[in-house]
Amino acid sequence: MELIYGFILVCIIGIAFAIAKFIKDFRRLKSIDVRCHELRAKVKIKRDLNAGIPIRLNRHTWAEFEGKIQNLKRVIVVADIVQQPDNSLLAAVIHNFGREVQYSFIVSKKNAEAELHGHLESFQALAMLAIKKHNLSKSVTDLVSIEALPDDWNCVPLVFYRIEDPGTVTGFKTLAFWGDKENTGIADTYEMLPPAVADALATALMSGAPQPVKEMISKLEQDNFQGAQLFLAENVPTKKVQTLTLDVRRN
Amino acid sequence: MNDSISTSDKIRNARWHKAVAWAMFQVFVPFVFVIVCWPIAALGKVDSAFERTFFGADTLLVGAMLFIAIVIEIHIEKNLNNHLFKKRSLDCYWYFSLFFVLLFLVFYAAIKYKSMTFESTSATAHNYSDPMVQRAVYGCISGGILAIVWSLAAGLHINIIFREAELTELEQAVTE
Repeated sequence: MELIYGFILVCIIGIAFAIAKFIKDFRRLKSIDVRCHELRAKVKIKRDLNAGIPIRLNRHTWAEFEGKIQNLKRVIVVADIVQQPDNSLLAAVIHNFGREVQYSFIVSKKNAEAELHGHLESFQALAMLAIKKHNLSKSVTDLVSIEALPDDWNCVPLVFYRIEDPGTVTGFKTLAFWGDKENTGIADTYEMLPPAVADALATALMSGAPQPVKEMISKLEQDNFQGAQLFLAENVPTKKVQTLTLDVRRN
Repeated sequence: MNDSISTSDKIRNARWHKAVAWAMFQVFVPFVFVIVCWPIAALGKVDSAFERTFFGADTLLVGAMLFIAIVIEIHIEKNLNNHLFKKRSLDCYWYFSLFFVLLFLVFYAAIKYKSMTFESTSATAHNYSDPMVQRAVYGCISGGILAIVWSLAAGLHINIIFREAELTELEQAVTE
């Protein structure tokens, strides 16, 4: 019966070994989960792109996408109003201010004055925070600006991303997206715009626009508009990506 | 038409549900049934409820069955997915589980025999504070804990192998 001591010792060694293996494997499983999640999203986008299904980003994936764009220099939002970002989008905006990304808003004529003292102030506060935190040489007005359209923008919000690209003539390329909700500053979902449509929209926006808006948009117009498909495939959000189903497209 | 749950999602979900069911009904439930006798006996004011519960060596029998299940499970998975299970780490689980099966059965037989002779000899007042009984009880408890922890670790390791294979497939799909 003295052998029971040996048995207990073997059990204790076995327990210690199993716990160590369990902890090691559990950590490994977590890292595999994260990697699989990212890769599954990439594969899904790749499959959807191959099938010609447009990619639609929801608020979370949108925020993640916005925070991940490499060499992003400017974000131009054309919308009826300026809306305060929340949760993950707020984090993306703060992150972008930290890397000196400019946010420019072009809003409806009727709302421009009110927006100066509205949610634009929260963007300015975020910019101020980023300037102080990262000791940036820029001023708040360099990072956040607002312009008024000659008319009211009773449409869905448009977002243009100007990205530094030494390979292009202007040194920049632009990606364009449009939201799904009219008269809002931030839509629920965003869909990429084909380059030709984005270019046409930029041209249309310039006609009759005040000088500051013209200056802003003309820079975009000279850029090389890019389809976001390849860009999305490279900078894919890791969270669930929505795609338009065939039924939605029929509607 | 919404095909958000792909075939690989279904396989992954099925595997996860199988692992949860296995942990629940093959690992925890049998041990709970053995251990629950202790508080029930204690509530019924049975003397030495703790010792009486574990001295029967039921945890060793359940543990041995669990190790057999691990051995069979690894064997089946190896045969079904031969290309995935080439790792030596899984062999380590297989050999040690086999070793524990034999060890647990030997000690189960020994402790069960002791327990039966102990209860049949002194019919009126059993001295459960006897060092031999205490040793056997703690042996049974440590054996039970080992069986639970070991089976969870083995289950997780099998899961890891499948997930690594999935990761490799996904990486190939992205680079294609």
